[in-house]
Amino acid sequence: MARPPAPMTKIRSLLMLAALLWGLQSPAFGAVDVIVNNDVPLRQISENTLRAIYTLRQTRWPDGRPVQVFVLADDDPLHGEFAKGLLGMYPYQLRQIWDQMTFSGMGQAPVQLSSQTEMLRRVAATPGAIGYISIPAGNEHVHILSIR
Amino acid sequence: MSTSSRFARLAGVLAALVGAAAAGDPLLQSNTLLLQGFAAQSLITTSHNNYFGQTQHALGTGLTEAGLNGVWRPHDGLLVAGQVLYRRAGKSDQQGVRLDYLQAVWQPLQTTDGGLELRAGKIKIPYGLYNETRDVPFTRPSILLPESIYFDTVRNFALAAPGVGLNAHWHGRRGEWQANLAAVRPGRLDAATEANFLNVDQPGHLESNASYVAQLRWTSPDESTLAALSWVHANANYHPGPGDPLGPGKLLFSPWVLSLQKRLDTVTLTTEYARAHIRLWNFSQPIGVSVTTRAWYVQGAWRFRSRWEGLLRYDAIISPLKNNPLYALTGTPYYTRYAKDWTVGLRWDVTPSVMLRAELHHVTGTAWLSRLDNPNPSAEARVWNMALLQASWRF
Repeated sequence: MARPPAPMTKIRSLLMLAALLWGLQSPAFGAVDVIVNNDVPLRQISENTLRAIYTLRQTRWPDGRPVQVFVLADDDPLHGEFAKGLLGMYPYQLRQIWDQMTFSGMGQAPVQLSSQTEMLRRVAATPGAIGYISIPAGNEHVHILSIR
Repeated sequence: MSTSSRFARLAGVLAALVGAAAAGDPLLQSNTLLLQGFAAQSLITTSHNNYFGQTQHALGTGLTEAGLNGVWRPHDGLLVAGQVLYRRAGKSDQQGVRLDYLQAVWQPLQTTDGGLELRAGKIKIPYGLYNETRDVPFTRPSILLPESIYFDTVRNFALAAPGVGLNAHWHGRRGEWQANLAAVRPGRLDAATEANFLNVDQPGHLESNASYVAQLRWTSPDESTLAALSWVHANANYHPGPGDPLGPGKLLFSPWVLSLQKRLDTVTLTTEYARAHIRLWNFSQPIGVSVTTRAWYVQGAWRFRSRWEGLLRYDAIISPLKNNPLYALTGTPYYTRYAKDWTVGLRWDVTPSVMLRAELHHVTGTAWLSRLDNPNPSAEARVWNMALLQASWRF
C-alpha cells in the first residue's frame, strides 16, 4: 500500500506546480530566433557557445571562419529578451564586457543594427554572420539555429 | 614637445588609420574601422583638502575626460587599435591631449576554444579589473575608481607603456582562462608619480627602463563569476637635477592584486585586495625605505531599474609606516599614510549615450591625495567629505 506523501514532498510538488504555472505566464522566450548566414556549418548551438560568441570570447566557427556578430540597440525590447532569455544576462552587462574589450583595444564590438529587417538582410549578406529576430526568417540565405 | 604639435602628430596617426581603412576592400566585413568615443565633465566639492584642483569650499571643474578610440581589422588575424585621450585632473594631470595607446594585435592562432595574441606598440597594462579602461567613465563602477588600488597619482605610470605583450585564452565547459604577460618600458615618469614616491616633485626625475606585468583571469561559463590575479614589477632610476638635495637613487614598485566579482541577477559584488611593495634606496641618504602597503575594497552595485544603478563601497589603504624613521624625518602626520573611504553613488543612464552620476565620499586619512594639489601634508584635514557630479556622453 502506498504511503501518504510526507508534508515536505507535498510542499515540493506545490512549489513545482507554481513554478510550472509561472513558466506558462512568463513571456515566451522561444519567440526569439537565432539566425546565421547559410555558410555557417551548424544547425544547433549550446547556450554556453552562444554566450561565448556574444561576449566576444569565441570569435571562430568550427570551420575556422571568423564570426560576425550583429545586435540591436541596448534599449530594443527584442535585444533585452535575447540577452536575458538566451544568454542569462542583462543588456547593460553585455555592454560592459564589449566596452572593456573595445576600449582596451583587444577586439571589435558587435555591429549594431537599427531594425529586425536590417538584421535579416545583413545576416543574409555577410559570411559567418549571426543575429536574432522575432519576425519570420523567410530568407534562403539564412537559417535558424536551435538552442541546445 | 608642445601640446599643439603633439596633437598634430596624433591627428596624423588617426587620419592615416581612417585613410587606410577607407582604402580597404569594402566587401570585407572584417576590414572596417570602428570608431567610438566619450566626453565627461565632473563637478567636485570638498569640505577640506583639494581633489583635482581647488575644491575646498568651492565647486571645482578640474576633472575633464574625453577620448576617441579606433579599432581596425585590416585583415583576418590582425587588429590595430588606438586611443587619443584628453585629460585634465587638477595639478596632477595637466597634459591635455595625449596618445593613450596604439597597439597592433597579431592573432596567429584562433580556434573555437581559444587563441593566442601578441601585442606590440604602446600597450595597455592589465592590472586589476579596471586599469585598462580606467579613463572611460562608462566602464567604471563610479566617478572615481577605488583610489586605494587605482591610485590616480601613479596612473600615468601604470596605464600604458611602449612594450610587447602575450595573451593566451582558452574556454571550455568550466569557463574561460586568460593569461596576459607584458614587458614594458615606461620611460620618464611624470611629476605626479614622482611626488607620490618622493613626497614632492624633486628637481631630478625618475625613469623606468623595464617593468613586467602578469595577469591570470578566470570567468565562469555563465559570466556570473570573475576572478583575477595581477602582478607588476616596476623599476625606476632617479636622475638628480641641478641643485638637487637627493643623489642618484633606485625605486622598486611591485604590487599584486586579487580581484573577485560575483553577479547575482541585478546585484554585482566586487572586491579587490592589493599588496604593494615599495623600496627606495641610495638617493645619497643614510637610510632607505622599504614598505608594504595593503589596500582593499568591497563594493556592491545594484541595477534597481534598467537605467538606474546604486553603489555602496568601503575602500581602505594602510601603510604600516607609523614608526618608519624616514617618514618621521619628513614630519608628515601619520594620517597622510592611510585612507578609509565610504562611497555612495547613483548612476542614471538617461539614454544609451548619456549618463549622469552623483557620488558622496566620507574619507578618513589622506594617503591618496595628490601632493601637487595639496602641497603641505601637515595642513591636510584627517577627516573630510567630497561630493561629485559627472555628466558623460558617448558615441
